[in-house]
Amino acid sequence: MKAIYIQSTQDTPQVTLDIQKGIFEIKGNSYPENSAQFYNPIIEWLQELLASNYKNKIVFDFNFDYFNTSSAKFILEILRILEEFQEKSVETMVRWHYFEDDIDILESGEDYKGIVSIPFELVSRDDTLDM
Amino acid sequence: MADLLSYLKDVGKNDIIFAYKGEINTQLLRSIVQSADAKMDEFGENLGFRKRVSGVLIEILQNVMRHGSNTKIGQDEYYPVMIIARHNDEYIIGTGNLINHQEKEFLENHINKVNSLNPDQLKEFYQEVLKNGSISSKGGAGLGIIDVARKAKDNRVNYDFKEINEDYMFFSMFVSVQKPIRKQ
Repeated sequence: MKAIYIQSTQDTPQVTLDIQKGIFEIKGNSYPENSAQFYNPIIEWLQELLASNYKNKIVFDFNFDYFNTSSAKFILEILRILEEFQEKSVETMVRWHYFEDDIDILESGEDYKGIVSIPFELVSRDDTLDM
Repeated sequence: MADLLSYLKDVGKNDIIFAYKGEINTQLLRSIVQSADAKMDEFGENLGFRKRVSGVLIEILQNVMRHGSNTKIGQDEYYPVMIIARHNDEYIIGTGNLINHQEKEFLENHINKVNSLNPDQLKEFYQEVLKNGSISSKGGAGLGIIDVARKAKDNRVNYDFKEINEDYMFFSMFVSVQKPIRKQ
């Protein structure tokens, strides 16, 4: 499958989905006015991968600085698809990265961890960044 | 219910960081977020708090963008308004925009429900709405207000409706955002 590389903007994250390199990552800010338009291609790509006979381990990195509530729904949709991979015996795990002082991103990670049933690791990072 | 203007009388003019009246679009939203962040940086706020305030700002402004499409009633213009103020280490974010009666009913019920919940109940309500999808036809406004309340002082969203005519009213809301505290 063709990899997806999307550059970040002020209000949309950087996205890397590459099965050759084994990278599944969403990174940065996510507050587009139209979240469906941004996330639908990502959801479709994952569904296509799910329908294929992909068997390698998936480690999905969420590395958000901030996301709005309409992005929140699509993040859950991605997690639901990852659950389906696991149901098909594809080893799947989520790494939820948060800046160490950012309680809100940490707690939203805990929210998702409580909702989905896949291995879910909360990973603290130390850096500085801009909105 | 407290309205923004009477609240701001106590806050004082010097505390206002940013005030705007006019159409709000994506381009403007981006620059407001950048300017507010730079201003908070000047005040020495830490990154976690800046991001929280910016997040509430984004959520509230996108709410106005979704609902505030109409601005004219007869000859009178009712543009969206917004204000950001800093007072006693808290940031006050307020907006106002024209809505119709149908929207009023949804907003009033939803905000009253949100204001009646404690932090744990808000977390549960957030997860419930997140899992069960949109409760608003205009795309996620329901979840936005819950999120804002979770980050607001006393988990409270203040609001006011001023009737303009039988179809329309001016809706204003404000919240005070306080520093995140880690609850164990």
